[in-house]
Order: sequence, then C-alpha cells, then structure tokens
Amino acid sequence: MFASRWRAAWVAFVCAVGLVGAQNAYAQEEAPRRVGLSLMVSHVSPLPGPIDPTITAIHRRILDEFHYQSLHVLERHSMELQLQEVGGVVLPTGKRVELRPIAVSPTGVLIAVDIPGTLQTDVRVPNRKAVVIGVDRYDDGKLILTLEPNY
Amino acid sequence: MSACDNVGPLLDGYYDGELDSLERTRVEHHLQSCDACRRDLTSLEAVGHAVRAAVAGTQTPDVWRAIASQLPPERARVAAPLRARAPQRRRWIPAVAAAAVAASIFLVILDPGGFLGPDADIGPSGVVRSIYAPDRAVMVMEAEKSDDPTIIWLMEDAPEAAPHVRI
Repeated sequence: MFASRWRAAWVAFVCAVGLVGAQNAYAQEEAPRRVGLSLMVSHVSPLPGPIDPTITAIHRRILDEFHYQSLHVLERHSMELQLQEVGGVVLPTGKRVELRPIAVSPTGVLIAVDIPGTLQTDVRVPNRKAVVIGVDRYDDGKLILTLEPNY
Repeated sequence: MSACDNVGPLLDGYYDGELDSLERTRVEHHLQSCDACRRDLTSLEAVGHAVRAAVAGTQTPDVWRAIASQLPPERARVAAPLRARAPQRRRWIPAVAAAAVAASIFLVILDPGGFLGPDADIGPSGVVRSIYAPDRAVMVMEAEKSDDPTIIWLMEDAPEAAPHVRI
C-alpha cells in the first residue's frame, strides 16, 4: 500500500540528485581549464627611494600598515596553468614559490601558493584582482609578491 | 498484538483505495467498532483535503460533468474512470515534496564538495581560504573595497608591534 508512494518518492529523489549533479557537471565544463597567472616580485625598503609608479595601488594599500620609504618592482612573471598544474618561480632569495590553480568558480580562482618551509596558503582570487604577499627579508627590506589571475 | 495494530498500517492504503477487497472488508469491519482508528482515518482525510486545497488553491468547477453531458453515453462511460483517478495523483505531492527536501539535505550534508564546490565562502570576502606559516606570525588584511588587494604579510616582528610594523 505504501509501495507506490515510496516508489514515487524514490524516483523524485533520484531525479533531484541527478538534476543537481548534471548542473554541477555542466558548470564544471563551463569553467575555464587554463588559468593565466601573473606574479610580480617587488622590494620594499625602509631606505629612502622612489615608489614605483606602476604599483601605486599596492603602495596605497600598505602605506598605512608598514613602515617603508621605497618600493620597486624586481621581476614580472606570467604563466598559464591548467587546473592542478604547478607553476614555479625562483625568488631573488633563492626560495621557490609554487602556484597551483585548484578550481575556478564564478567568484574567482582558488590558488594554492606554496613557499616550502615558509608559507602555504590557499587563496581564492577574483579575476584580475590581486593578492599581495609579504614574504622574506631581502637586502635591507622585504620581498613582496603580487599574484593576479587572468582567465 | 491488538486489532488496531493489525489494521492501523492498512488505514493509509484504505484511504487511498489501494487495498484488495478482503483487506478493505477487514478494515471496514474494524472501523465500525474502533473509535481510535476512525479518528485516524478522519485525520488522514483532513490532511488529504488540506494538501489538495493547498495545491489547487481554490475548488475547481466540475468541468467533467459539463463535458460528459455533451458526449454520447458510451463515450462518457469510457472516459469517466480516467477522470475518477485524477484526484489520487495529487496525493503523491507530499511524498514528492518530501523527497525533494531529502535530496537537498543529502546534497548539502553528505556531498558538500560536490554541491557547494571546493571553495565555498568563508569570511567576509573569502579570499584567504587557509594559511600556514610554520615559524612566522602572519597578518591578513582582507580587501575593504572590491578593487583593493588582499594582503598576507609574514611578520618579522612580534604581532604586538602593529600598527606600524617593521618590514
């Protein structure tokens, strides 16, 4: 007596799961499979000097938080990585920073950033927005990395 | 086991018209002498009416009677049983709705990665998902405006040195 009712409920359950699963699969297929990443390596120093005009947005953001007098770009790298592919850059300190895009969603790309022995972080960055990472001492100041996806 | 225990599970099927004649007779016989089971049956009917009213919104006019009056008698007899079955289908709606709710709960609780994705929001902007620096203090400044970069800063000094931290 309950069998037909339960059968209908079960069919509805399976259909609902199937629909959501299909929508997920479709969304994943729509997501880009390759992610462009730019990595800028800069140096901030407490010694007097110029502020690089190409990174004034970053300067404005950290100006009130950290004490420094000069900021300039050392290196610019760009790479295009597949999801789960690891891209690496050797920093002026000799340490290597590894980047691995994990997943792309409507709100950004999830990226694993690994500087072995120093930092492991996962950041989800909206397209063409930056994440600034202040890492190790270098010369009289500190290295900062600016990571920006473009996909 | 009492008679109610035997008949109680059959009430739903009795209400839905799903019992065979022997079971139906047995239920009807029991209902004549059992107030509790009659109340249960009345409750079932009340729930059925409430669900149908909620689904239908308002009572629909008996269109079939108007149509049947226009048909030859033999065609009206053939079509009438189909009409009689239609209201029963609405009784599936609570079961289907319950299944949809169960599916949602299943997907959210048992399959959070598949449903929400591996990067569901955490925190106000959710840029920094996890962070581990084995021997350094870390300062995180999430973007206050959409154009601001989020900042992760490995400290050389103790965190107490903020707000002006030596780089």
